[in-house]
Amino acid sequence: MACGFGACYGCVVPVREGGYVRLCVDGPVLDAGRIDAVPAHA
Amino acid sequence: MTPVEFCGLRLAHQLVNGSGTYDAIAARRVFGDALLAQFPFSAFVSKTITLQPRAGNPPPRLWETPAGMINSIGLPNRGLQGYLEHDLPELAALPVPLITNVMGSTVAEVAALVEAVDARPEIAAIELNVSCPNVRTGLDIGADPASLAALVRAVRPLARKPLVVKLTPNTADVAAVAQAAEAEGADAVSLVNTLRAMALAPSCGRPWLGGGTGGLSGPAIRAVALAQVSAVARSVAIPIVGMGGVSRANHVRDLLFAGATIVAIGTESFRDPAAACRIRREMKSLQNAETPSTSVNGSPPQVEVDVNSPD
Repeated sequence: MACGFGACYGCVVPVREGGYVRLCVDGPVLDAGRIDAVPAHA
Repeated sequence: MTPVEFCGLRLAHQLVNGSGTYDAIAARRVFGDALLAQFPFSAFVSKTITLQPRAGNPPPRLWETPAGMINSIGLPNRGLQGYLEHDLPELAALPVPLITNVMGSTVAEVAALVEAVDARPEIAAIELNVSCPNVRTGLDIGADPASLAALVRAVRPLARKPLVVKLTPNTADVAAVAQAAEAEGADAVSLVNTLRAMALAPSCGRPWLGGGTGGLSGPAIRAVALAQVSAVARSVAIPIVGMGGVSRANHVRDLLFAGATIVAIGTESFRDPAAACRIRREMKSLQNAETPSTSVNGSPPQVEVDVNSPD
């Protein structure tokens, strides 16, 4: 994570409703059912 | 630090942000109105705005290197209309001039962006992100003096506001690209953008970043930035926004010595959102240390931090 306050968009995860959310400001806890597939090597 | 004139804008000091390295809207949400009272920069450069909204690149988006980081964020933004409706009112409330950074993959796209941005009185200047592939040649527009010249020639007449061209370091001859920008009427150039870089996933050897490759920034690129700013300063007469790996006052001083008019802070603001405020304090100490003592008791001025320590 680069910044931790929503500025760098580095910590995003894909969500089923489309697009990405930032874990640092929209998380860190998210409903697991909301999260879309994350690359296996990440 | 003394006020400085940049493209007709009177800036309170020499430090601005690099595009995409400081989200003033997110920062205001976190730090509140205190951010406005002590805004770190003398002008605010927006992240890159494109004509259509972009979600950005798939994760992972970051990789740390021993002296920097590689990012493949992919320019997520609300698109031009979203920017004008949602972001601009918030950015216009900042206590400093606003420079809006735009990117398009065709001349027509860039022209539409420049015209729309130029029409807004809240915006003081326009920065062109030219690290975008030319759809015909596949080369980055900013890597090729002829492509860049054609782009600036087409959009320059559309803007009454100052036009800054953000140069990419991923080119054979950055000075030639800067000269092309100047010849077609750019008011300033800013450099360097990130250096193209790659990291492989330790587990499988495939590219780690969702975008395949990314851009290297941070202390690792400071010496490269210094060489490129120096080369450009010897080749053009227009002002230069110097950036690349700045985290201390002596790094700012180096870029100014190399020919920059103002200096941008980038990656360091991720580590410390108040970095630019700290660097300004360091610069005052640096200036005091270099000015013959005028204190009443005759003792040399105290330097708060050792700004000359090696990185």
